[in-house]
Amino acid sequence: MKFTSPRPGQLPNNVHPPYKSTLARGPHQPRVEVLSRAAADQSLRLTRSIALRDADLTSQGQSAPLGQAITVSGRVVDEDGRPIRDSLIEVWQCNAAGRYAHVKDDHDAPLDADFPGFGKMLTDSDGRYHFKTIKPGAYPWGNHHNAWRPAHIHFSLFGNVYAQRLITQMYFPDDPLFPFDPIFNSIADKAARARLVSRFSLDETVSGVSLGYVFDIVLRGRSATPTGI
Amino acid sequence: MSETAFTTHQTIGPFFHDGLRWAFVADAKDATITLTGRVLDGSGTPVSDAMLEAWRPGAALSDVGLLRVATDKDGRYSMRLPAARSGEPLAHICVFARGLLNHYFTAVFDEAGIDGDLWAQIPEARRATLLATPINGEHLQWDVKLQGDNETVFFDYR
Ligand SMILES: [Fe+2]
Repeated sequence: MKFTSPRPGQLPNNVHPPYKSTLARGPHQPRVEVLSRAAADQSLRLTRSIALRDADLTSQGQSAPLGQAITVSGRVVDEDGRPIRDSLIEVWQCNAAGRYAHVKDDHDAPLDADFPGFGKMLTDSDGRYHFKTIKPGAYPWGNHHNAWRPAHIHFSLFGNVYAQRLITQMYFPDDPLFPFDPIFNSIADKAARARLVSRFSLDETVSGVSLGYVFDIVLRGRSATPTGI
Repeated sequence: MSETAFTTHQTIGPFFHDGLRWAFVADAKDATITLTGRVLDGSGTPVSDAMLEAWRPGAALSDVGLLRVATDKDGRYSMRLPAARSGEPLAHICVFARGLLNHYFTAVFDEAGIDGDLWAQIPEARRATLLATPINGEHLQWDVKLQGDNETVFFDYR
């Protein structure tokens, strides 16, 4: 497996001044390109010994959490379009009011005892995943005056080889906060930004129960070109 | 094969702990080495909301395969690792935090690892940023400096 260079603007800059926390934290040096057997090693498989029954974030409390029930589903593939099978996905999000069940979240919005707001699941043999949750709210943050994050779900993926590790955020279609969010806009390439936005799907919508959103994910890595070609 | 661009990165944010805590394991199987240190920003301020993942190819460091630790209020982390194999890093490390729009791959070495392939690819002037310092016996110290003087080397895998 080989890992090709990101296109210009495809990755966020390390330092993106409108996102103030990057000013002192973002590395200044470019990444050092290395060839490492570890990058393509498949032994990091967080799949075998753990219980994975957290794909329904609406059933973790005594009763259903408040908010709009949704499902999020999609397919995880590599850059050649091949499915990423049997691979761990972790998700976490705030509740419908925009509050994380986290000790450091001091946003003055109600907590929901029925919504811890995190889950984990494996992709299937075709790279597909599916979970049920509620639509997260937008929330304010201290970055600048009247700063609000567009509604999002945090995603963590491991892929099938070490270099495929990914931490990202999934957004919802047509969010009016997009033009104002420095985290979303830290990605210069418009198409790369657009790929973080899920799409609404009536096919995935369950009649009388939940709205369906689809979020497909592509992890780094292409098949290595055979020698001699 | 169709050409598809990979999904880009976004910050882990400050609120990952409860979602990822199930896999917070600081102690590897067969650990003999204690590695401690801090994550520091460009002004030397401790990063109190970072997460490190440590991994070794072929070695399941824990039941979930890797070690995952969060930094504390002073930016400190601590993990227990098996001794490095000759020419290999003590662990491959991935660094995450609020204010990091990307995650960053790096590696930590002790003296056993510094004649290997990966070490050789690090620019000589910056190699020291990946070398843990012995404190006493099997206790090593290694700080991650996100920015500025002695900035930790981060990798782009090829
Ligand atoms: Fe968030």
